[in-house]
Amino acid sequence: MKTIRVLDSSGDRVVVFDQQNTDPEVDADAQALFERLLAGGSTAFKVNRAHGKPDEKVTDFSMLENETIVVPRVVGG
Amino acid sequence: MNFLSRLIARLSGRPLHRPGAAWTWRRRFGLEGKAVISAQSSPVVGLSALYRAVRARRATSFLTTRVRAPAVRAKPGDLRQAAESRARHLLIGLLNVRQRADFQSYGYFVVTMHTGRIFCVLPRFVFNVVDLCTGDRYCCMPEVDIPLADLMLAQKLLLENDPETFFAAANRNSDFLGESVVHGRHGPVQSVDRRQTL
Repeated sequence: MKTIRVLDSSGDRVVVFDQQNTDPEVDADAQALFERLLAGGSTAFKVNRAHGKPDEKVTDFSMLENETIVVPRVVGG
Repeated sequence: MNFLSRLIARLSGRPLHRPGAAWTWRRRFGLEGKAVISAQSSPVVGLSALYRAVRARRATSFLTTRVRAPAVRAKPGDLRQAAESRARHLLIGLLNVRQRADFQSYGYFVVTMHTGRIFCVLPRFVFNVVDLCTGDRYCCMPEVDIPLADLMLAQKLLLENDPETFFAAANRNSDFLGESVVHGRHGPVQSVDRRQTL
């Protein structure tokens, strides 16, 4: 199971999917969401990685790991 | 109508009016003959008494008494507080040991970039990222409205893993501290809205 957390006004919106799932639609929906977010200027980071690896920016859906934080497009305050 | 009146009389436990007599709302609610609803009295007064009787009957009848469910619509303040709590929980889970200790003790934490630059992320929305080497402070936030803990988390992730994006968007203000926290020297004076890239 993989988790995508999109930061928003409610704290974060959680999308859980499984790339091993037999239902390809779930995987396709998650990929479409991920690519739409990144196309909109959001930035995704792999967090809570295995073996204590540091967090890392990710731009490819196939490179996602267990947990991903998506930060919406940032602007100067 | 007779069937309905018999049904109401049976359900309410009231004796049924005489068979064959005309069914009236006054008789149905036991108000027949009372002065307030007599034919000679004002119809407004009579209707008011009738309404009061209906309300009283409804309030006491087990058939019509309803237990009101508690309001399920949350107030905006409650939603905001829940979002803050959720964001804080997520932030604490993603901080390292030292950052978590600082955040839980003082409300801020320190981020070290891969280049060695040290930033302090303060618990506020505007110009809350302070460069501890130069004293400059930066303001960079997502377009959407997010809780404060989510803002701090976004800034931490950007500073540690994608500083180019952070500094490309952030506004810098050099007049906050006036001198470097670490080296104790005055930094160059910069305009507030000037952007800095790495």
